[in-house]
Amino acid sequence: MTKNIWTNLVVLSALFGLCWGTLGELPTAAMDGAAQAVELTVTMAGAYMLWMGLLEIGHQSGLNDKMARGLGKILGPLFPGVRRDKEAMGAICMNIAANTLGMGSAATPFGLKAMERMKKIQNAKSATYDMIMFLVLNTSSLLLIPTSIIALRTACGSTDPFSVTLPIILDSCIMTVVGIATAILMGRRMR
Amino acid sequence: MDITPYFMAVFIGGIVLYGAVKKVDCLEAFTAGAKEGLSTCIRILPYLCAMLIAVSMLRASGFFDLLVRVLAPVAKVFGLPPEALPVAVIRPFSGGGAMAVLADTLIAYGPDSFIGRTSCIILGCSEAVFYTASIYYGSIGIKDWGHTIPACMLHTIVGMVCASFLAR
Repeated sequence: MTKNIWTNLVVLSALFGLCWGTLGELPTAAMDGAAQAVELTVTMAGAYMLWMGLLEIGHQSGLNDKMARGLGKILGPLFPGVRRDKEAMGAICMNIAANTLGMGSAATPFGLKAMERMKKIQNAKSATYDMIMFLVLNTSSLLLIPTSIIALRTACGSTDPFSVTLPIILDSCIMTVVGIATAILMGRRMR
Repeated sequence: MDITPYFMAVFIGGIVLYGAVKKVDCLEAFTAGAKEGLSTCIRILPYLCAMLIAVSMLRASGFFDLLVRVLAPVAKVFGLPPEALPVAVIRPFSGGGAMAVLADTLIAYGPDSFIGRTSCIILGCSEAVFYTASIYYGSIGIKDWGHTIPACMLHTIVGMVCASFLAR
């Protein structure tokens, strides 16, 4: 095992392919994955331009600062290293708001912007306390209306497709609390 | 009723309207931001490609099938139905992959069954941790992720265990 996750994953699949006799299927799978990446980029490029364009309008009109001040009051204490930077906090808040409202295509460009800004102001060579906290919040984040799951449930003939919405919200809250506590405890040495 | 499109419409319209009120050259600002968005998109393509290749190979190799078998007894201890494991196991790697597996699970066991509901909750509350981390860190060229994966996986596993209790 190396520290690099990607290397581990590829070596692992080759080893498994060898043991399970699925080795012959791996090249096709690799090509599929590569093609998927290009397809996804082409579809995403439009969404990225849309959301990053709107973010820039929000930046120039001062809307991002307002948002950062509002949500930043709640989220600020979690990001001690970047809380004073309006641009970083603005992007973090927009990312979390987009995630919560189920606008997945908007969340990623905002998130990448936040990472870029955090790297710049912290002059980071490796993951910082604030970056890890951001990823923890991002991966445990609340989703108010799980649209695609509801659609799939309906398609499969569910009598009550919305019945999982509340449990998902509750579970996300539990995860967010656990995640924040973990990030604080594990990050003690970093601060 | 799906209200997400209404949110988005208000969001988009609101931002442009606010910009206009504040006398921002909206087209100029939008295109400047869009240019940045496009270069971000191109910049992350190699990382996206690497990650999707790895996940696709991992799926084809049968690794996930073995993981499901190995984890089944552990899942039972925590009250998680083993039939919900295929979704749980692929979820940290790929959102689209997990959605495909969820469809299989719902067709096999029914969307309103305990297994079906648990799988839906697992997918809904968690995120593609490995995918997100590799894109986010990859885009800014950071190789040392610190304790990101342990921290993210801990809450993901807690969430998955809770899912079966919330589905009851």
